[in-house]
Amino acid sequence: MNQPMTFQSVTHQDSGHPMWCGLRERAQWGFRILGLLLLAAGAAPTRAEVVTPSVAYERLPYALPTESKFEVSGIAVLPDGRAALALRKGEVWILENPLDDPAQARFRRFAGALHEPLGLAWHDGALYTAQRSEITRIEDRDGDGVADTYETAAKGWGISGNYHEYAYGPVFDRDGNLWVTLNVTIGSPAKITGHRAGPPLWRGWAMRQAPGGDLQPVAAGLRSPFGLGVNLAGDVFATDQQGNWWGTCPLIHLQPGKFYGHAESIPDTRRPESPVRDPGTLPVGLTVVEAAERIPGFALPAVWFPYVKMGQSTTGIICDVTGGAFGPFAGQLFIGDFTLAQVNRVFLEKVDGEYQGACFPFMDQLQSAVLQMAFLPDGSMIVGESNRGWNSLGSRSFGLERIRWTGKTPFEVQSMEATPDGFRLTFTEPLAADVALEPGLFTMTSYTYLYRQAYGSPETDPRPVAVEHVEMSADRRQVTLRCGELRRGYVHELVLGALRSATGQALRYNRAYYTLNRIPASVSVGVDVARQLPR
Amino acid sequence: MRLIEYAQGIRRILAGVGLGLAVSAGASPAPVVAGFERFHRGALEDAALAEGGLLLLSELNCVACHRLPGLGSLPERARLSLSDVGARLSTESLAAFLTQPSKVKPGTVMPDISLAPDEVRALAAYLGSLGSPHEDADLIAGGVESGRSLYHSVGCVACHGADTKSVPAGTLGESAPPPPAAAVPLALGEQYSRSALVRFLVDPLTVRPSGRMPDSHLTPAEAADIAAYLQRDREVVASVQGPEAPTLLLAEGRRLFTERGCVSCHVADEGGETVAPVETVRRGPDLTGSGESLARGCLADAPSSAVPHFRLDGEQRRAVVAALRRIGADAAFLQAEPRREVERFMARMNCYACHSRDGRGGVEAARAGFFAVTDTGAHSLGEMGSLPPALDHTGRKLTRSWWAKLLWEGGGEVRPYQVARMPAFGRDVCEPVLDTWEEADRRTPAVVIDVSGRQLHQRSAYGRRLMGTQDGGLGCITCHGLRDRPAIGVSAVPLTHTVDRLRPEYFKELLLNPQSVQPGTLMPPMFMGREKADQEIEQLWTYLKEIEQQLLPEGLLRTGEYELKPEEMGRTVVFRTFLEGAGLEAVAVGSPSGRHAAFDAREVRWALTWRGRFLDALTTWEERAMTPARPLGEEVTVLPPWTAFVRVGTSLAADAPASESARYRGYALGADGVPTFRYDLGPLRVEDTLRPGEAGGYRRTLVVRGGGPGWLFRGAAPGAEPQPVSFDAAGEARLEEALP
Repeated sequence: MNQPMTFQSVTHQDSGHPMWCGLRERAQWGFRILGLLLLAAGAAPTRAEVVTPSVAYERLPYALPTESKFEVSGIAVLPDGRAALALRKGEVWILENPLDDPAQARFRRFAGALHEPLGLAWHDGALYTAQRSEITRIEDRDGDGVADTYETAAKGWGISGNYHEYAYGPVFDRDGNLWVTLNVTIGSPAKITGHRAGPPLWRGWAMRQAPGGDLQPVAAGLRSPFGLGVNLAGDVFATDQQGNWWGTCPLIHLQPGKFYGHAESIPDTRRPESPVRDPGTLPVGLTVVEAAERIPGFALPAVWFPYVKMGQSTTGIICDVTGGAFGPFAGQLFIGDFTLAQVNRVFLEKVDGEYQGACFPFMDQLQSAVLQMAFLPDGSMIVGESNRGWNSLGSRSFGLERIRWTGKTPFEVQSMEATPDGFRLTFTEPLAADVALEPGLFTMTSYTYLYRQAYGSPETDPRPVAVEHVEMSADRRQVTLRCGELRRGYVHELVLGALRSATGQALRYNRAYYTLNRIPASVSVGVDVARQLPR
Repeated sequence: MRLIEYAQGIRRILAGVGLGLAVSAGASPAPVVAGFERFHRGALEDAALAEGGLLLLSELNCVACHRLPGLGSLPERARLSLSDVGARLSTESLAAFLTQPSKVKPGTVMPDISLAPDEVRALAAYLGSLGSPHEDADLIAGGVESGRSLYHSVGCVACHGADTKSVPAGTLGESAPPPPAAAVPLALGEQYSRSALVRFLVDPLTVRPSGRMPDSHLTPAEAADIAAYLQRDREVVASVQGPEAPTLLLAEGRRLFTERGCVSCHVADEGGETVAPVETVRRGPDLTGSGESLARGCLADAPSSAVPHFRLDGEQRRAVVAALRRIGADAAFLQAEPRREVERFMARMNCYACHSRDGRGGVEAARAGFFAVTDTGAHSLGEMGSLPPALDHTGRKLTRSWWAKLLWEGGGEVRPYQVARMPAFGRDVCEPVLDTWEEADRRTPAVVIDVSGRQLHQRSAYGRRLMGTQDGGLGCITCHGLRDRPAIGVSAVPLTHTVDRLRPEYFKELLLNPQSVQPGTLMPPMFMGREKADQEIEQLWTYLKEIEQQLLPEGLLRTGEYELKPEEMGRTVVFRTFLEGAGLEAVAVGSPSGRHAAFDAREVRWALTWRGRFLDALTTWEERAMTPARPLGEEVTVLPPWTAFVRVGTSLAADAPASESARYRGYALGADGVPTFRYDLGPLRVEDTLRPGEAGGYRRTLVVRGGGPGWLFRGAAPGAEPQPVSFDAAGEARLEEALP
């Protein structure tokens, strides 16, 4: 698997991402970047591949009704365990029996007349979804099983009719604040009568509305921030799309006043209500790490997803709140990918008060472009899919499926933590007794990305990272790597050699990508995240 | 000229095979087994003769009385049910039939049984007592002429004889075709009570589970028409049941039924309990396949009254003897290779009456004219269009689930332009042969196709493009319809059910070289020499797999494909989109009355009304670029740009900026599905509803709260003057206006 993907998926399909980039610019970019990558790295990046097939997780695609195209763009699991599903054509359906035989799934139309809903949440006794121009609270007040009230819950951003002006969300944070993210306008506004054109306000922003309050701008510099999610601590994260100003896809911790880099949101920073300081004239010719040092308010993403290796188009975010019912990743985040129809996994830790961490592949070969995920009451994951408008791997153009943990523990890198002089890996199972640990089993490279208006970025300034010493914990579950040069802000890509667990399993995936924004001054106390979780 | 010749030919033929099978011979006619008559009569070679004999052994149900110890087994016909025969036939008809079946129904495969008149009387009385009378209410009056037309078009005449008056209109040959083989007799039905005949025609498999009379999926009304036609020369017999017979007579009849061998081929229920063969069932001697036995018993020149008399003619006897000899001499004869087994099955079930396979059978030329097509587009397919398809390769062509639809479940027909129907033959009869069928048609080496859909090139969007007529498409839709949409040109098989029906390997085999797989097909070899044929065929498969949810191909897609039609849906349709005339936050409201409107949620005002057609959702639901929709109907009225309430003293110029900050709050659907929009204008909380008015226009209702003195209502009706609003003590006001 050293070749074919890259060329094809970058240049052959009509474009790479959901919801944002133009076809032509994308194709041009494809050729250009491919050339750069080939020059820079000597070979094109390839997808992280499955080393061993999963016996730990099974996929259960649902049989879908034929009345509507099930382009599932939002999922909210209701308190009674049913799943509400937003469809891109503007409907909400209820999956009555998500835990039963997926061939016997029963669906019921609940709501309609929505303008491309991209997200769905259950909050305070009602469903919330983002339409083009508002967040709508949907309720069935007369109790006949069909929605009858479509109340505007939040509003106040601009649209010009350009089709990229998606609104994503909402999610609710620990304080009950509602969050929505807004795609930038890419291209010209629609020519339409009956419309008094105004400035398309707050495009490329994250917005927040406190209970009973008005919608307020929070953070700027986003491009196509499809994914919105909340971790166990109640902090809000977003994903965005590789493209102009984004070298590759990021996972961002949304924080008030931050600027994440995309330039089209800058004019609105000059508005009095903006909590984001005007970053001024943007520098050119820098890496994103250098830019972060130079631009006031600039915040780096918590995690970079190296392009192609870890997907090409990040989408939905969910936190594993299952307390172990979904396997050994409790408390971690799962991130969808559109183009490669896969789900990735993210381990986060706080260093100097800021989130950073590593991403790992979790499951590929889903039916279609992954848009949203949610956890069902039994701890299985439900995944909504649609690749309309762009393209993806997979067997269908849209779909809905369930990923269930079989109860068998997969052998994987459960977490990758930064230490003052390297990294500490925790495995899901102890290593086999006869594993002879040696530095040669761990190959590491670090690189970063260019910060620029052009589309995407090659992996820039790559250097090998020497793994000088390795040490295993007494319980054989942890391996500490002492590394040579660690570089702040850089992605540290780790490729693991042939390791086996005590139960005889080979690693399911052998790669991990740590975004080292900060190097901790001291070793953190090893914490078993799963044990902290409510059951 | 050709037509006349043809018609003459048909008439000549039909004279001999007409409905009544007016066989001239005074002697009892030989049993008619269609496959034998067509393929084995006159056979000179021993092998062909033996095959014919084997067919007779099965169709005359010899194994019901005889065993083949150590020689293998012959297929046994499922027993004909007499459970309800008393409701079908009168005691008199039964008695006449029992006396000499071949006289009442010449050509019947039922042997003549030597019965004394008392025995006939008792047996007829017993059989006449089986079943219960059916209410006259069951009786549907049928029409003779429509029945005649149905009988001659839905497929009855593939096996049965045709009426000399019903010469087909088509012309298939230059001159008169050769006469058809003998027709399967259907005489007894003429004597059925009318309602029993209708029921039998609707569901023949209950009475005859052997499937030799298959189920043509007739509706009761169609069956009534055909029944009226079949009994056109008789008075309608509503009920055939006479007075109850004496108990002793019935008991004697029952004894005879079980002891005289009737139960070998017939089954009867008495009050839900099967009358089973008793120990005294007459069994014939074992068949050994050799020796003197071959000229004795049923096979004797003049069988004794102690054995059933099948009235075999010389050729039939020779054939049966030849078969028995082969059975005795060659163990492999009964366990033939799969292709031969399929051939035997098709002969038994008379599939060959309609279908050819390996060059054998198919609709006989003299009957072909009865097979018609419904639409002119299919005429250009010639016989490919009008005749049932050849069954070559079907073992690797059809999926098991589609076989089930075709052979027992129903719903498997895919040629809507054909008038003749594919009847169901019953699961018990057909299912056992399917493994053999598949084995017979196995292809080596197997065609390889990847239908995982996992490859990037397999996207259904590419398949859609290939199906279409534009943008480099292959134009499949020129001949193949999809979903509810007929093909643009010639109507060949619609492709809607392709992935349910065809095995992907066959799909690919066919597309790569249509002529070699379906000789004579009109399908062009689109994929010959195409560099990416493998990938493209996979793309087509992916698209067809998703056809129910996918956009139709270019060329088949009509303007208005996604048109929302509130009139047809019978309810108010709310639809949110970019809408010409109502802006980017339009909420369109389509009414079954045909009077539609759009609310502008940004400006909080009604923006448009129009009549007739509502909207097309295509660009909103399918297009990436999301081109604004536009009202499709007529009389589009652009309503004035102002909001409903302004403070006294505010500029009333049309383009004056709004005096109050507007805040849209959403809508609630009423019991009738009509939305009431809610918005704030400064301190006012407004509820604004537009409904079709009784007089033909619109009636707008507004409820406003939070008001006081100093407000004006600005209506949207043409020429409406601003009016002061009087709020009640609670600060509430209710206003109405009519819009044209």
